Amino acid sequence: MPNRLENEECTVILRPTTRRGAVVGVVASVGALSLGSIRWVAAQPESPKPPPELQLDSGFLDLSQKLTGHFDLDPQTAARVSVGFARIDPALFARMTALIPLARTNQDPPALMKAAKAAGLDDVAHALTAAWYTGTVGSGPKAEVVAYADALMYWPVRDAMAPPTYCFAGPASWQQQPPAVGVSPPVSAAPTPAPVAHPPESKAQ
Amino acid sequence: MKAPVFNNGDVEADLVIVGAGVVGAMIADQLVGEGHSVVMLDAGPRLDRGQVVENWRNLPFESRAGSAYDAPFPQSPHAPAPLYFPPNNYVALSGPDAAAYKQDYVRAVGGTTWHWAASCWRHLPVDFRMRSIYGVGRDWAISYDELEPYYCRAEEEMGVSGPLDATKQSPSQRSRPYLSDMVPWGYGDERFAEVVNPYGYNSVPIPQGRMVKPWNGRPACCGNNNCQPICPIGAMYNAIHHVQRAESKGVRVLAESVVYAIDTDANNRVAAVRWYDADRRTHRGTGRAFVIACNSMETARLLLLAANPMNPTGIANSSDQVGRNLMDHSGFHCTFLANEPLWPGRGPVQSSCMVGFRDGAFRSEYSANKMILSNISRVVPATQQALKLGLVGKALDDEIRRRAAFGVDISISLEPLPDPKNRLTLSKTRRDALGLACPDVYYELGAYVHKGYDAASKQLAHIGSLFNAVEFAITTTLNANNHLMGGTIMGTDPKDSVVDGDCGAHDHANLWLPGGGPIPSASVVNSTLSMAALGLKAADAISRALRRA
Repeated sequence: MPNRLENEECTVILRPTTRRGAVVGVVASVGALSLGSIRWVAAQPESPKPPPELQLDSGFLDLSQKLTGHFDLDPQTAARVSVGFARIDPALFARMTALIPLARTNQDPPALMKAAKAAGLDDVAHALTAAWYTGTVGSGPKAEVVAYADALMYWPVRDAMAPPTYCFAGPASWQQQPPAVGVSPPVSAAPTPAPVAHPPESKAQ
Repeated sequence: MKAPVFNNGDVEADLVIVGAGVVGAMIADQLVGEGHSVVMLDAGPRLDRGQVVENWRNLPFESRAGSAYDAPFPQSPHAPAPLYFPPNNYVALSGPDAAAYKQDYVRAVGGTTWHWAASCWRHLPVDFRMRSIYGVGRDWAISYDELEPYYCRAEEEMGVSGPLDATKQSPSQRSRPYLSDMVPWGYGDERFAEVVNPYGYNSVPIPQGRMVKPWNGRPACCGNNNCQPICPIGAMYNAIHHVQRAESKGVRVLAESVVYAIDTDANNRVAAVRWYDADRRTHRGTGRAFVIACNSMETARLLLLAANPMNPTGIANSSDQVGRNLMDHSGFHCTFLANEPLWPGRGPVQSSCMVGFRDGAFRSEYSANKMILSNISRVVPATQQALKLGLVGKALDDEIRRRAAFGVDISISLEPLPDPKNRLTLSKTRRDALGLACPDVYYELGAYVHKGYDAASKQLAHIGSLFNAVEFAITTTLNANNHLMGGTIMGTDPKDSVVDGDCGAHDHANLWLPGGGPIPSASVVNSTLSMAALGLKAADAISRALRRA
């Protein structure tokens, strides 16, 4: 199932802007809805051909697909990821391209990660994974946003909620039962440990 | 209808309001409706909602994960507000609890209600009598009963949905019902309350400035789960709604107009304010009545900046209390993974809150608390945690889903006491782009709050045990909640307070300072509805004064 978001209620249009790495999202329509009606299809970019700096090495897309296990990644987002790494960390990007041959012989994420580790490239593989999941290449002041609603982190919960800022299923729809969770409950070695220091994750209410 | 009269960039109106936020905009709307000419000056720019939404989506993941709610809002170069990603050091904080006063606020037309979550709580009747009942803090100059009609009006102005069932109201002392029943709870709110309420935690619906039906030009809330930093569709109340309503009736709003001086006459009435426009040209606004409603910090800063020969320590400051008694609800967070999925992230960002320890005899010794069950989507922290585990592929997807579905974040608010030493002063070294002194703030919470933290922590450990919590954690550093209070505190004695029960300045017969600044007791609940109610009470006082004149 493609993981870009468009349904009858809310449409997300993603296309590159003149400012590289930026994402434009437009809520095109909000209408009547039902939980079962959500379709996830790709929005077509306006421009038939991406600008030269967004031309993509098909090996990079293949690597990204094998590493994430998601085979419907958007080539334009892949181009942004690739260009982003090349720009903000050329040394890391050079090592990243060394992963491309490994992806030809390792077809699934655990196998590819194992091969990357054996080649001393697991840090690069994790950096690429993080970019796809968070929609952001790199960290700190040089970080570049490459996707918002397309970030893979929203994919595992797409049957329960939309990426924040988008409408999932209309007014008061949250009263309906959430989907079956389908994953095992969290476990820990010891029940309810004593309170420990932990940095705040969100600051304000 | 009278209109403000402009002459060569200067303006004359019946009422001059500084600060186009929730308080100023409601007052403007009322007074223009009564036929008075009104002008509003705001230091910050006009905002475009769609652009702010795009700015938020385009923030790097780390900034969004760190709740960089200030970051998507454009600032005027002449009107900075605190920024933390990276820090702009506009405010210099000191004192043992300085970190608990790292405020976010928006200096723009519409103010900080652009990025609030629209919780519209009332103080409890007992909150107005903290000194009399519990022997701590201060009493208000007015009673709950005197403010109650204004609470009703503020709720009706803001389109608040709240529980019609009195057993779910906090407080239940009301003269009129809410306009609309509570925003319906999601599964997680219902289930959480079912588990904790047998133990006295009393999870109740949060009264909210939104509806699940179209109302008064606003669309129905459709659960975009992005109330903070901005509601993308305008379903949530934001003061821009009152700004636009007031403008449609003839109020003139001047953006990027930074007031820096206040002129007083021989009777110490305010005669005019002076401001810089975006090109740093100076202008004068004269009027019969004046309101300064920026926020606790910016109002106090302006009053101090505007010291003049007749008021050498600052406007309205014969008591030396301007800038003192700063408060905010001291916050901390409790996070854990529950033993059943609660699925936060569906609907508005907060809908249920535990108020079981909002009040009690213990308040003579330590702080009350409220505990909000956050409904902010847990996908972002879940992803941070799952990536840290080094997972890939299906294991990574499953871990994100697990942590997003079973994750719990409780946001706790504690009540500080008003303390004159918690004080905003003007920096002697740091100035903004206009050459105006930046604020310094000293903040120290003391044993009352820290003992309240200990009591709340024990309650949270018990709540965690009810869900067989995994990865149970409580933050140990108190955070700000952006509920600015104090700075122009209310009282009956002009020697130890700045304003009276109508938020009128003791020192100046035609100056009102309504909003969070006058609030003498913080309670544990978000301050905006109380600010709005005080603003409407001030509006009635201004109305009477203008009729007399």
